[in-house]
Amino acid sequence: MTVSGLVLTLENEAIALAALANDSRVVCGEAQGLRLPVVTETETPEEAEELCESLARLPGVLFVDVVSVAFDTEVM
Amino acid sequence: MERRDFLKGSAMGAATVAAARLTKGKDGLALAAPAEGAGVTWNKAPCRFCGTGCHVQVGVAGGKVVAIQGDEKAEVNKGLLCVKGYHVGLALYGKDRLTTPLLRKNGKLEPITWDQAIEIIAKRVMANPAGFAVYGSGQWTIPEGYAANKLVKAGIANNQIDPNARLCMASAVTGFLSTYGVDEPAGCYDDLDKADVIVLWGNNPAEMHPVLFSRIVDRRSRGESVTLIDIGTRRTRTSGFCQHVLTMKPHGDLAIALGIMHVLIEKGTYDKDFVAKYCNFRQRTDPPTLDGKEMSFDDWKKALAEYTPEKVEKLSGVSAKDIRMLADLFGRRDLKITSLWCMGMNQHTRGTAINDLVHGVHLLSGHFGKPGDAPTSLTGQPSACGTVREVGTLAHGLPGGLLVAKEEHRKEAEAIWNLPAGRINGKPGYHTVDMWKRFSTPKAKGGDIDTIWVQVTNPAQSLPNINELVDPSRKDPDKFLIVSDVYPTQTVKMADLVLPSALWVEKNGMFGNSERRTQQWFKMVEPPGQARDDCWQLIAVAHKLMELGHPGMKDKDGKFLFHTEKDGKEVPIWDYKHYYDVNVDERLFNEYRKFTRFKHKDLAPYSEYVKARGLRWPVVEQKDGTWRETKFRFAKFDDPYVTKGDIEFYHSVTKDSRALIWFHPHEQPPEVPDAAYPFWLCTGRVIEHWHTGSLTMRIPQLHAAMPQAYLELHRDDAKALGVANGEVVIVESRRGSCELPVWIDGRGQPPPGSVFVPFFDETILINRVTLDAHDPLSKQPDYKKCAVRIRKKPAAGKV
Repeated sequence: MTVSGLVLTLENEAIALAALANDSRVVCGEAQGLRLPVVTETETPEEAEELCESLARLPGVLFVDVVSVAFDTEVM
Repeated sequence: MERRDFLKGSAMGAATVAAARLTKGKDGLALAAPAEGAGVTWNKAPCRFCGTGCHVQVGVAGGKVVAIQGDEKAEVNKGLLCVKGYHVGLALYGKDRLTTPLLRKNGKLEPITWDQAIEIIAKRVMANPAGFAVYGSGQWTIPEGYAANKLVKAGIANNQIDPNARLCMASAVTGFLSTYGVDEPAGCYDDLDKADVIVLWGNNPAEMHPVLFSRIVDRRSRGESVTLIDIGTRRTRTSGFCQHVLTMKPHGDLAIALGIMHVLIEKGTYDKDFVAKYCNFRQRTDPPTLDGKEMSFDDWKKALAEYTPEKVEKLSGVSAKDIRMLADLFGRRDLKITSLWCMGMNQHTRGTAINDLVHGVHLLSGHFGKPGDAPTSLTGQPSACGTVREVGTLAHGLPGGLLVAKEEHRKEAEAIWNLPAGRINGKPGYHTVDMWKRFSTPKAKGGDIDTIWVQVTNPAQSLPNINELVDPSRKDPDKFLIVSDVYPTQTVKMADLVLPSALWVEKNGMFGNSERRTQQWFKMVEPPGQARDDCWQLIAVAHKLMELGHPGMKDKDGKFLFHTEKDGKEVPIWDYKHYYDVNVDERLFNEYRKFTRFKHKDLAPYSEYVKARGLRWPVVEQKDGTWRETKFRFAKFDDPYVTKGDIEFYHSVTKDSRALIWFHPHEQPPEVPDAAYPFWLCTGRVIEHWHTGSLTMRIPQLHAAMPQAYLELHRDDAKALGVANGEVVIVESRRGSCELPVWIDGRGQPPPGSVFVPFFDETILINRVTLDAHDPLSKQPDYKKCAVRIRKKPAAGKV
């Protein structure tokens, strides 16, 4: 299991939030202007990477900054 | 709370603070370290990879690094990290870590003890001290580099030490020295927050310094106006964010800088007041020197007269209109302009010249000395500045910017090191290319280096023209290669003796980043097996040399060169059991900082760096006993060493507080495409991998994202050659060849007639192809341009 903290820079908050609502691996925090903090939880680090890339392609999302990653697969 | 919940909460907290910072800028936000809990303890460290100097918070549980978080308290990255940074913890856990010393016997590397390994090295030194060299890097920590420098310059006294940083930023050093009389940028990353225009000279920060680039692009998303201008030989990921992309011919940068200056003079838009107060003019001599030859302003203008925008267009491939556009921007006083560069200007056979010229553009136009107005070089390694440029681990250097060739500097160093007079050798050692040429040349033919000890770098992959500089030594029984590393790199595989090293947070450390920021961290986890600190290895060899009777390993009072005390008693730090009885980093750093006053590169005591996320030198003690860093050198409003005027170049080459504006003519590269070798080859890095990939290729996510090197080829050239995407081609130069798959256009979209190959892949050694021609002053080779031919690999059975 991999937990990542990301910041999404949004172009259109409503469109982006609608798209994010479809993915149970993503938990959204409170938007700060056009910056949306999110946490992703995936089975593997590879999936985390793919998810991060797919978030950047979502409608309403300009780009994604990665803030943290926990890769403690042994204990999680 | 379960660890999963804890980590999710911690991740959300970090992301929320980062989002707030990005939205509102850096002010007015409460900052906190990640919360302790669920068995995870957090501590700060600078990232292990590039020269940006991002800080991370490292989460440790059960003796292992389990999490990485951008450090919200760090001014450099404000909580953000790039794809390499957030995977940095995994660099420790590749499956093939070296865990025991190995000696080559009958062609095979076999385990030996540490005592045996240390004795073998010491006996190689004793047998031929003059032929022993150390080859290090900008990944050495500051104390490691300092220990290596002291061992070689105060102990063995042959000055045979040079770093791989010679290959990445030596031309920046000579550019700063020849312009200002002292090394390293005057400005800092704060300039990126203030500049109206940022000119990228052969620089691709979107991939090479992504957090810095994000800092620039974030300004735009806050509604600020920042004009980005990309000057390069190929389009990169950076180009997509730039308003102006100026694709130039190789070496076109020299002409472009001359063209800008020509127009500034022609239109009278240069900063007359700044030039009159703070500048002198210089031209080169033959042979070239850092001081050059005096030149009047009128003669300088005459020399520049031929570089009209139209002529520059022919030389550089950049339109006269764009040359005028650049000159018009530099001619405006209402804008703030920062130039950034890295390998594009430094890995250049006229590297010193183009560095001089870009400084000259800024000085001539007065875009200097105000926040946002700065010519700033970036570095590729985490401590190229801290360990190489400041500690002086170059063949001609001493710590603090002092030089072995200057008697007064040797005397200062001998005083600090408590050495007998005359101990330090006044003759510089060999620069990198020369050192390795001599190592690969038989003794009978002048190859007077017979042993090289490599630490923290991978020259068998990263040196240019490795067929000539490395391979011959491996067939010569007189030559002995020692390598300290963490993984079995290409160089380790060729070594005679291998020493397993501790990596990053497996040891104490200090780095110095591109903006003069000195950073510190503590050891957090144990290294695997018998892996040990590089610094300990150097000290252990020094002590063994003393036991064997080497006269240089004692100071003038008969004490060991690395004598260390605790509570009035000597601590045997050469014995690994006792290495951490004291903080050796603190002991060495506090000795080293005595050197830093001579060139006004003052460092604070070690304890100040423990508290900070790095401090930018000069760090000067205030009347109240606190320590203040300096963001903008030579400017009265911030630099405490400025005593007269608004700007003072207090290490001026001409001793009159003025900087030098140079004239250097445009010149063609030493090797250009011809009928036999019709393509330009440029080499470099990609975002996923760092340098030779010895760490990043072992991180599964990064390996999966970019598993293999490739050749970027323009689609018209691919059509002409009859090759499709993924087909294997042979790329050949006059020096060697390698085979690799084609990526049509690739990320970089090279122009027709030019190709790009990254150098991270040890299975595809592109440095068998590159050129070892180098800049006459900096001795830095040019990895960015040589002539090659491309042919489709014949099917099996055909030639």
